[in-house]
Amino acid sequence: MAERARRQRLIVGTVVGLAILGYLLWFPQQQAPADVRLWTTAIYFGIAAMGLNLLTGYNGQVSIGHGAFFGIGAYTTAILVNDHGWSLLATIPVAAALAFVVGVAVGIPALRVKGLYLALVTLGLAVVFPDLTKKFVRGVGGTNLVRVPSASLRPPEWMPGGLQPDQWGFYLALTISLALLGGVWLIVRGRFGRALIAVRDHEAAATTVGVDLARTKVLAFALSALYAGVAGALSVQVTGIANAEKIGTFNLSILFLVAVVIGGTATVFGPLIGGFLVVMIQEQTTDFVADPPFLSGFLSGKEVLSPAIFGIMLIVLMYFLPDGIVGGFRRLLRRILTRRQPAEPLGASVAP
Amino acid sequence: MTVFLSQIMNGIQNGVIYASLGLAIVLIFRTTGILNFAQGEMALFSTYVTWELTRLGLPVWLAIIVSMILAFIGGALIERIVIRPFEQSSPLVLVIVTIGLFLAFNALAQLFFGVEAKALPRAYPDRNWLIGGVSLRSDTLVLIAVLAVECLLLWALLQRTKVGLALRAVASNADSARLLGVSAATMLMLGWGLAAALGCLAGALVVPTTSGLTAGSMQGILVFAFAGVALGGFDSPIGAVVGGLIIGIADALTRQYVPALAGIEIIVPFGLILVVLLLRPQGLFGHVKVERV
Amino acid sequence: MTGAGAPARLTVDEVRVEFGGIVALADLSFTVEERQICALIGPNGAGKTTLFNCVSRLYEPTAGTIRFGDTDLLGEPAHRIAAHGITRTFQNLALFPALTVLENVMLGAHAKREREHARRAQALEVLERLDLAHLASHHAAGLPYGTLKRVELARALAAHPRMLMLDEPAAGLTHSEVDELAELVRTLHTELDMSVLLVEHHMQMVMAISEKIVVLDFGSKIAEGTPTDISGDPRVIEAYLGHPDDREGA
Repeated sequence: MAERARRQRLIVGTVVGLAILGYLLWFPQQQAPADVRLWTTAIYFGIAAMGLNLLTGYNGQVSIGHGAFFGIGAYTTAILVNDHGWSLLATIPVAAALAFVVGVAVGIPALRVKGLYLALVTLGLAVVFPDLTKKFVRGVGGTNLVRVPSASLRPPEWMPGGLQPDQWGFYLALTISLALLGGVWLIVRGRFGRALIAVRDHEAAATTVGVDLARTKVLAFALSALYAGVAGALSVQVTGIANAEKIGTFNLSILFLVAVVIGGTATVFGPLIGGFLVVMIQEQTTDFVADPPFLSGFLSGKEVLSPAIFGIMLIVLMYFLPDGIVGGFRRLLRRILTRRQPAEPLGASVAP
Repeated sequence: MTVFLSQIMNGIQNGVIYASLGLAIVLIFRTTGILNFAQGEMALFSTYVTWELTRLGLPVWLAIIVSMILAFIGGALIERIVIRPFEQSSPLVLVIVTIGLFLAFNALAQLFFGVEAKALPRAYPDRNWLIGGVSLRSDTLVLIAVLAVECLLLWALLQRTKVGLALRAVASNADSARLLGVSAATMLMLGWGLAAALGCLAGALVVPTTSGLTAGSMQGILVFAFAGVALGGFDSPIGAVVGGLIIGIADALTRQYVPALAGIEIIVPFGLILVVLLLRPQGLFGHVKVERV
Repeated sequence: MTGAGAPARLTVDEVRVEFGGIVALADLSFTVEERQICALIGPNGAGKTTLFNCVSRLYEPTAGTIRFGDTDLLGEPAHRIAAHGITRTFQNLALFPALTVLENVMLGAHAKREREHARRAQALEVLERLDLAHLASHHAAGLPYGTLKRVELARALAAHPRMLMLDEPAAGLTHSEVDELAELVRTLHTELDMSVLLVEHHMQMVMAISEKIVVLDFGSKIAEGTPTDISGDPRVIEAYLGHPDDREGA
């Protein structure tokens, strides 16, 4: 019975997934570059959220500093492209590797720091990073803003089709995100995924079955940093710059966490959905406020209202969907499915 | 030597500000177990209210008292309306909720009061005394005095009154407290109300010493206040005070004496926190949660 | 099922554990012979779980040695103990409720390097043996307490341990469940060629299955011997010997 339900879900899921994929492949050909860039932003946001989900959702280590890893990826790419003439594509593995290494460096002291304290130490990361870039990065006019030449945003020669930079960026991000999604899926359903969850839920028990706590937690940090670094590298393709200022990095870090939670912590697809939502809602509330369908006298032009609406929406969303979109969806599915089939009898082996 | 002492004074003045906001953070953590990301923005909003009241003609000290009362009510209401529905939720969900509050308050403050910087008048005259070559500002004295009074009153409230006992009971185990007849609902609201009032006072005293009241006024302070609380221990009011002071002093001394770190002085306070937490994961004054296997 | 290695003798030698000023274990020495079922009994606070936690390397003794076969356990990090063939259950049930029963048991064999499908097959085998196979896809939560205890036992068996440590396995079980458990432990002990060290308050079960009993009180060993020796020992009787109900049924 359970097997059939699983197979049904798998078939439905695959069909839906293919349909979505088809739409996404066709999408950039039809939309304006600004919209394509927006969706690309949503994709790399999802990538960062996927990584953070591994660390926070599956492994229980809360970080509000991943904006820093994102920044490391972005600056690596921007500097290699702008100052050293690399192709943007080639910088991505380097950005990933560098972010990974820094992730290890952060993950090791993080072993001793738990819970809220860890969250605040990672906050320190997000706060320190912009200052570090201001001190050590030579960008435009002596600031920490690095701009890449627009020629570097064009697709590589071996790429057919005469794509525009925004379209190329979209397909690039989409491909990478699917690969990284596959990575998450493999991790989560395998031995390391079980270890992540075991460490999150009961460290002592995890140790006694042979899980190396330190290695698991540091690796979780490093992987999450890698994902954020890749997202940062991709952001350069979209925005053409790498920039870090205090509020920006802090905001990013928080938004990644928001994306993880509203998508559904410890789910495979949740972060992608969450990333998409965060980017789109921010965009929509800004549009809404700039050109509102009602209350126009009060609302219009008050761009500052958009974060207020976003903030209130977050609270409302958390109330109705505390386990995120995917969590809520699962609950809905379960309710629908169990209404059609009676629950299996349990505990047949309990002592009479 | 005088330079050193002056920097210590600077550090103390800043540290006292971080400690004041930190006290509010610890109060909410002790009573409701939540880390309130919105603490700074709630203080910001209350400070805007104070400014509005002075604009309407109230003398500054009266404006501060009135807005503290309003903040108290507001804080209690926030707890009741926004936080209480999430009483059973996971810590992550609560973090998102307070983030939502943070965004909302910041934006609403700008919405109601406009985006231009406001000049908030002082509640006391700005004076400077020279003692042995070290300049002592009235700001510093007042802030220290206010913090000391706050600490004393909080201590007295929590340790010496029935209400304080009830507050601590609810913080420790809300269900048991309810079974004993304590109204957990009232205590939770009280905790948030007090914290909001403390935050309001902190904002009203700090802002006049800066270049003006703007939307970003409290964000830097919040980060340092969090840092101080992490250093001192989340569940310890003493920790908030000592932590905040240490952060303030460390920051000031770094700016003065370590030019190699110019522009990235902020590394020192956070580095300090990391070092302390590595040696004492519960902060200087925090309590360890023992897990029985 | 074949064992991962030959059972070995556990030698606890002059182990001392102090927490601040409190002495939890005072120069404790005893052995668990190969293929032996040994029970640790004693009043609450006597140090039984502390000893377990020392073997698991969750606690660090102040003095003494613990050897398992040729290996000095105190030189090993905690996560390597499972690889040496020592697994355990916990007093307060330490399952991973977010994972399924099957995944919990697969985690039991985490220390073994093998392919996923082999690991899954072996885990299912263990579940079969313990009559839990039908619950494989169920989350390790929301099940009857006795069932969950059996899942934890399955997890401890997944890696074919050379020594199985059970921390109050009978706690919270009904009378008939305890009888079933005793029978189960005896059967597994024979079929799986391992030694068993258990901490238990349920005297009926202890007397029924143990080959050796070590009695602790205030961190020291006050008696050691067969069930017959122990039940007659005046020091043990004086320190504690279970509830009158338990002794009636023995």
